[in-house]
Amino acid sequence: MAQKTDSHSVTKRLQSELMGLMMAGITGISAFPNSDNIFNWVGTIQGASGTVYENLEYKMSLQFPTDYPFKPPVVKFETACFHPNVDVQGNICLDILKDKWTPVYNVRTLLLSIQSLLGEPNNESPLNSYAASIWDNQVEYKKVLLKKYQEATGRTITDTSSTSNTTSTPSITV
Amino acid sequence: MDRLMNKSSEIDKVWNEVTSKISLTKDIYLGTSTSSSSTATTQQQQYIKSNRIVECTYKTSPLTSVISKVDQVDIKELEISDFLLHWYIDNIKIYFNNHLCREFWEYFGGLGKVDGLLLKSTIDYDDKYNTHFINAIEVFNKKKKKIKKTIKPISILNDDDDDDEEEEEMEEEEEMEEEIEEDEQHGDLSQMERSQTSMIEMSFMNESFTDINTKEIAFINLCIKLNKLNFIIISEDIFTTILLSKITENIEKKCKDVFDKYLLKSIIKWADNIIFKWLSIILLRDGQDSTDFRARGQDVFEQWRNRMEFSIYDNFSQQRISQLFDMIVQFPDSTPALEDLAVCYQKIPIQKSLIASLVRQFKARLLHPGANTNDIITQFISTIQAMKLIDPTCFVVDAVGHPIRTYLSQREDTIRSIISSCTDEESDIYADFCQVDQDTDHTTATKGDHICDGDIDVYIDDYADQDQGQDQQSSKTKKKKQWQPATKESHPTLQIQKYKDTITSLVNIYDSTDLFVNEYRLMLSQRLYAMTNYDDIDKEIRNVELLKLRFGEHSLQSCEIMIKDIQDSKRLNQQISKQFKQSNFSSLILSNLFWPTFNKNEEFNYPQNILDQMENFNKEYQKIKAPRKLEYHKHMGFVELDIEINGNITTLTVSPIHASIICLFESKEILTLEEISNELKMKSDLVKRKIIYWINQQILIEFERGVYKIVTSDKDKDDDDDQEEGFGQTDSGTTQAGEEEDVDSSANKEKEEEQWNVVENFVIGMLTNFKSMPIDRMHNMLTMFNPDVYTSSMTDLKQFLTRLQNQDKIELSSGEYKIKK
Repeated sequence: MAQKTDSHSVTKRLQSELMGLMMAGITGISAFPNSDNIFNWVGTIQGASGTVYENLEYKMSLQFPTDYPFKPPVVKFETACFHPNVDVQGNICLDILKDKWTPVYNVRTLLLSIQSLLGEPNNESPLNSYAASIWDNQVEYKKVLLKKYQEATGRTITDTSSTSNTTSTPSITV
Repeated sequence: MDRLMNKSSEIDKVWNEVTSKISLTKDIYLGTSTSSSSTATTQQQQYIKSNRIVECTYKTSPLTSVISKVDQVDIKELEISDFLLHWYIDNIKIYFNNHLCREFWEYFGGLGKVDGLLLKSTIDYDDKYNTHFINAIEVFNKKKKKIKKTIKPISILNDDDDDDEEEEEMEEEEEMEEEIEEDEQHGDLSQMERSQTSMIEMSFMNESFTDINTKEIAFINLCIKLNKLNFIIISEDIFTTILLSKITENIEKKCKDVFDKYLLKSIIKWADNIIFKWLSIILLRDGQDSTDFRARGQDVFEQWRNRMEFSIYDNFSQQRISQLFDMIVQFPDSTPALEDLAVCYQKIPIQKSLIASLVRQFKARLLHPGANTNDIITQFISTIQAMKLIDPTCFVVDAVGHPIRTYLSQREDTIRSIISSCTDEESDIYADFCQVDQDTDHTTATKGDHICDGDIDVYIDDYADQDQGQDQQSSKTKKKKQWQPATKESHPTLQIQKYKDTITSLVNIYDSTDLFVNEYRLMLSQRLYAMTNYDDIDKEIRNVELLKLRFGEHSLQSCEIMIKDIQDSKRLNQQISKQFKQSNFSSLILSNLFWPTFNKNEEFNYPQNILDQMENFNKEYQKIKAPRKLEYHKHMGFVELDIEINGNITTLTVSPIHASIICLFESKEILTLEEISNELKMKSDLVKRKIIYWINQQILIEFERGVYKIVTSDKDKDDDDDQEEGFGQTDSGTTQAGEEEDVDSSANKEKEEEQWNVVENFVIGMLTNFKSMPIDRMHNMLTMFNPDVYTSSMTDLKQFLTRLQNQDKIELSSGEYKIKK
């Protein structure tokens, strides 16, 4: 009985979060329940402009526990993501997904946090040490990132800014 | 049957054989049957003949030979007994109709004198008891087997009622002889009985026998005789049915639509005086001569008595339950009836039927769109209180209240009704609302506990008693065996808590108190806007304080702030107006965060002088409350206007938008629609709508199409009147309605637009995450995850998606929609 009402209230909460997220109309992040299960969402994050992830689009999966929002959802990258704090399985190392979670967070803030994590990785505790090691060299990083992204999605990103960057960098060094 | 008829001659033959073989003392049967042929039909004769055969088969020792004879003529014993049964039943029916029932009730009607009506009602008894008889016979039919076995004793009875006196006499003799064969003592009695019977017969027939005592003796003797013949025990079902129908009738007559008297006791008394007395007469008197009989009679009497008692409670409670809805409507006037029912509830298991019946009645009579929400709420409250009388553990309340709660929670205006009745000083609920709270003022927590404690005590006591009893028996195994898993009913705390008082049960209609508080906030805000006299605010403060006791400080925080805003605004207005000496402008300063969001309304501007005042006010405010600034909601609020036309002053309170329009006419008498809409920066159709108010007030007239003029002279006014009288009557009606309708339709339109706006966001959201989707999946998703807003059909969605396609927001390829990049 208690559990039933609980799951009901969780459904309510998720429904209202969905409504809030849809109506907020924030570009770059989005999420929607996958099929008919409201506890299982598909998310989409676009890299913030001004970062190496600009124009890249990543699919996420969000699994909400039945005691949400008291426990954080399990969030994973479905599109392979080359990032210091994301491992090959797509697991994300982010404090608010673990011990720093509080019920005041919601899907919107969570996705925004992940979006900003893309541009500002925490290199202190990397899951992907290679990515962490080359982060400082943004040009190199972007090259690897685009290659990986192409591998993962089969999409080629013809990034004008990156080509201009690569051409301009040598001119500086020369 | 036909076959049997055809075989009649053969039966005659067999009959002759049989009679000769078993050498009956009297050959008279055949003789009588032929002699009575003048009155009885041939079929009846046939019955009688077959009757004899069977009788003989029972009587004679060489049974087999008779049966073999019967077999010869191709008649199965079963068939004969079937006929016999029909015949008996017919005769018994007639007998009862003519004598027993009538006399029975006549007798008790006179004797008991409790129910004088009974005596009078016998005038038209014939028809009435006939119907009872059909019931009785039906029951009788079911008992065929039993009757078959006991055919002999009954056969005497059917002779009793036979019209043919001669045959009766014969039968009596025959009976007598049999009795003698069986028991000589009884034989003597049966002779006595015979004479008594004829006396009774006479008293039945002759209406001049009015002496009740004679009748009583006659009747009692009849009863005794019947009992002696084992008839009463055999036809128990018939008696039961008759008694029950009598009980039901009595209960129905006494109780129908009477809820304000305690009736159970009087019915029990009536039963004691009549039903049980009769039972004791017929069942207990007969055994005076033999202890064996007496013991048996006692047993049977107890058995019957118990059953009858149960039936009385059962019938009574059924009657009450059938009118429970009306009882609840009349609550608390119907308290006696409910308390009667509560007694029944304790005695017999009526819980299920009570709940089922009440729920059915609610569904049929209350929970439909035709019922007013307020009525449903009132009924709901009465139900809770009434059911608490019946079942203090609140189990019934919960079961019965559940459908109402579910229904109420689906109604849109429920919360509003509840809150308005809570805060309406004249309503009953308001009294509860205040009173209970005052009680809880000092002991909020303990009060609830007390209620629970009281009721749980009952349970604990019961349990303790059981324990004691078992301890005395000191049989632990028995205890274990008697253990049963705890039912829902045995944990009343939850339910009692839920229905602690009226308000709690109302609030519990909803899963959370948030909805309630929100609605209250909305209503409070509306009241506060409209408040002209700040003294009224004390009442609101009181209400908020009361609510705080129920819902906690935190949930009503915003309401408190709203009230504080009003008080602050009042102070601030005084302060600022002192400085500017403009006493006629005041503003409500509301904290944006804590007030409900306002509906966005049409944009428009105030006339310049008002705008100036507002600007001044704003500046002053910024000086006082440094970082804050004001944002005006121009369409809110109200304006008190004195309009002076030719020395006549009209005072009106209107909305700012109306006031702004009329202010323009201050400087100019004639204005066109265009001028107005330019001046106020509002849409011309809005102006048109709003100006209708002034036309209806007879302050403006539409001089030409789109040109408005102040009504300056009586002549104008008269013209207007004439117009109205002439042809404008309906016209003005439509214009007046026109404004409202327009407002309505624009509100609807807005709502719809908002809905589609949400749908658009959802569609974009879905397509972002799923790349491409077919329309039916989108429709499903929208229905599933957004049921509150999305109520459209697939066709509507299709149209809408086409619109989005045209706006280049999405594209359709191979049946699936995509976001257009």
